[in-house]
Amino acid sequence: MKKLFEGASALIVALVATLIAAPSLAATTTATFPVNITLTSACAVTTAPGAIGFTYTSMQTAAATASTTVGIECTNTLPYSVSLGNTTLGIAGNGYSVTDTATNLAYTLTLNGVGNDLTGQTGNGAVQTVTIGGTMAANQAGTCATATCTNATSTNLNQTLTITY
Amino acid sequence: MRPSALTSARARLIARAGLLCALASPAWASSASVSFPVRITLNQTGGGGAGSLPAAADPPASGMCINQALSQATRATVTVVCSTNQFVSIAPLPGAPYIGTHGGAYRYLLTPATLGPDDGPDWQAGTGTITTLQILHIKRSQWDITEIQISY
Repeated sequence: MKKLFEGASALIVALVATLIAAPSLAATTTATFPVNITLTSACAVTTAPGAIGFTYTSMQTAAATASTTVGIECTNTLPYSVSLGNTTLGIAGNGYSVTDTATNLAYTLTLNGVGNDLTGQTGNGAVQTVTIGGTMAANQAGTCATATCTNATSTNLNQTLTITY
Repeated sequence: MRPSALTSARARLIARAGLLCALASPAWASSASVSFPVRITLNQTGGGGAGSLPAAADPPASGMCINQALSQATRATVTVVCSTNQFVSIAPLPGAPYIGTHGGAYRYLLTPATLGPDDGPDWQAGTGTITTLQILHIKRSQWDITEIQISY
């Protein structure tokens, strides 16, 4: 009699456990939903160019050079170009020539030493560095009524670098 | 041309211009600009080697000069341009010796005959890659001095 009671109890426990573990009404359903992303490509100047500084002595026999760098970051694979001056259509291979209005000294600016326009650039999602080089030709007299002059009052002191993308 | 035809031609022209603009610059094209200064310090070189010039009532104006047209030929004119935009031309006088010889370096010889009629100037001249010519006119009240230095 005792064994019969123990066997029935075990059966009841097993049945209850089965009912708890797997309800007979359980089912699943799934749904999908889109995650829409609109990426607007862009380029940004991450490191602004510093000043280009020329120190020149009238009629010096060697050209004066100076340079600075600019950090540009563009969306990965985004084509872009960089140009000097207020135009986005520079002439490849030619430097950007300027005559300073205060000192009357002429100089030429180039990008990476190849001209005033860098075309065919491609963004890689990281900062890319471009070097702005300046050359002031030798044998220029300049205009200066005193022993030393600066171009602080020049109307074209500031030059522009433009990124087109 | 009738007015309607003129209007139609104008419309076609505007449409073509718009199409060209659209082709030249993609609609998504954008740009970013940044400016940077180009600072220049211009120094004048030191004096012209005058050294022992007599005191003058009015100090002469001075400025740096550079040759503008250097000919390879003898008896040619050499034009010197100054930062003050004044210039002088050193040219041979008709019938007067002005000898410019050059070999390994440019050499100039300035002779008294170059100075023109003898009106009593004192002069010092040298030859070489650095040549100085100094003309002194002695007047009652002041010194009148002209000095030219050519160096290569």
